[in-house]
Amino acid sequence: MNVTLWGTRGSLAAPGPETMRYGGNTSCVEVRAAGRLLVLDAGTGIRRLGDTIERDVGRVDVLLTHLHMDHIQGLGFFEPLFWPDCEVHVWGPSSTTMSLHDRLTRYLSPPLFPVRLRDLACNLQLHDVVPLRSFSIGEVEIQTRLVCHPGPTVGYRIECGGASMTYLPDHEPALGAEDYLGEHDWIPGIDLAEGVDLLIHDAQWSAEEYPRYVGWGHSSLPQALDFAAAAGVKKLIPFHHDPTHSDEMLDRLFDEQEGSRELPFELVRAAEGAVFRLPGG
Amino acid sequence: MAQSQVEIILLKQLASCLAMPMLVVGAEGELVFFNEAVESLLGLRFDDLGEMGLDEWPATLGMTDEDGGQVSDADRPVVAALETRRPAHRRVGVHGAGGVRRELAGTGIPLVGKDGQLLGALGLFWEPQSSWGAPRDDLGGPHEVELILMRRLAGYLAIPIFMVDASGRLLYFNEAAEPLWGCGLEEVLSIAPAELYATLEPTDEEGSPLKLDAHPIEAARARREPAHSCFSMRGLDGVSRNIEETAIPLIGQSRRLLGAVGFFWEIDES
Repeated sequence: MNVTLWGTRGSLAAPGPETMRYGGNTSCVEVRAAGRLLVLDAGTGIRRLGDTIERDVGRVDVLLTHLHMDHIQGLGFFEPLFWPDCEVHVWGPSSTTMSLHDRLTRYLSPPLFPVRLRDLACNLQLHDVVPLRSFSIGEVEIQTRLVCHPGPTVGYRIECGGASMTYLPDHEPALGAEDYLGEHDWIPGIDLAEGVDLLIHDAQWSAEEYPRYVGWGHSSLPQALDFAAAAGVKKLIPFHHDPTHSDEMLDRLFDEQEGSRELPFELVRAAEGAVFRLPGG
Repeated sequence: MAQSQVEIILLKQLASCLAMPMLVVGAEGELVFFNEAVESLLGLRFDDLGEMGLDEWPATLGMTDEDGGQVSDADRPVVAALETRRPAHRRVGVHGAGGVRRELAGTGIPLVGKDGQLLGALGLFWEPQSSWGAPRDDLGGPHEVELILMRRLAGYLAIPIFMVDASGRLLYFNEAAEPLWGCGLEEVLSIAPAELYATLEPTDEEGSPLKLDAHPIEAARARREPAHSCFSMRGLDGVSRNIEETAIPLIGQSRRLLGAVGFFWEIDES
């Protein structure tokens, strides 16, 4: 299983000299396994990903965690959507009263976007993941759960040939709980992340910032580390960096955490463009 | 962050997750939030309206009594719940989406923080949906996020609350509920449900044994609609108490039954 980061930033794209190393594109991760191409979220990073996809790919699966703008803003610029010979399957959450199609149409339609879903050249198929708990794309097995974030939001666990990864880019498991790790079955998202080779998890805030943003749906870096430890993951990529966090600030935040505790997993300071090859898959 | 803000954050996020039409009012009866199910019912979006005072939101939302007439503030379930600090129930009318008038069961549940401060009230409109599905087959293991949020909210409230899963198994009760049970949560969780119910010896208002399926939380779970009654219950400390309970089912984002939650008040007959 190969995992490539195309966008690691949260909330708002943040290009600029101060974010050159970790990157300024919003959430997008490419997963290649067993001949399949999965794209996790469609932030601005998806545009550059689209430029690299082979023209005869045949099928692409886009797995959206939720429909906040930073996770779908690049979708209309994803090249395979305009290939008549390509199947594009978009998976994502419906809400309690609206289908995924209707929710996506709110963005992919005027006045917000000049192109409508029905005008796309590809063979577009939409799938609502909320009623599902698991599904497969070829030999790739995916589990999905609703997680703690404003609005219908899911996380994904992807497994193939013995390799596993979990994607929880927007997640606030500590919301309203002083000791949210105390009881395993009461930790949101824990079963998605249990024992995976690679966890990509929300770490938008510093510890000092988090109290000001309780309820916004994001975690602090220490909270992400705690969650990863509780889940027993092998590697953690802190993700969804706040747009105001420069490369230097991120370096400092990571240095502080690595210097202050022993971690039972590898903490990877992953930047946009980083590639991970997971054993198996 | 002010303590009451955390409760409201949890309440809003919980309401957003649930498929039942729910609205939240503050301590003065001002409209703080309503969820997507209410939006669909009324054809109005909360984000377009924003928070509104009590003098404004009932008319804006098209609320009437069951005959289409005016209803006084005191008779609105959420306002009555705020004033009496007890649950309130009545039939209400709404002018719904497309101008269709609908009659619904309305329930107001007051919310009181651990410091005794009235935080506001939760309002539910009840119209069972045929699209609400049965629970999952694979119960057990880590809990759904809706149940987690409900538990966290309950932990902040002074109202005794307990929660069961979709099969009726007791999952949680908060610190406020411990005096009614006469023990802590860990002791109760270790007792098998049938044995636990027998130990509690619940009786109805006539003193007859209250069958399990007549107990509000079981009725809410099994019939997927709010239930309310008064009964007596003997805690594990051997003390009998008179209880008023309002229970609601929890229908999650997946539109499946996740469980049910009961809100208790001890009736002080003095």
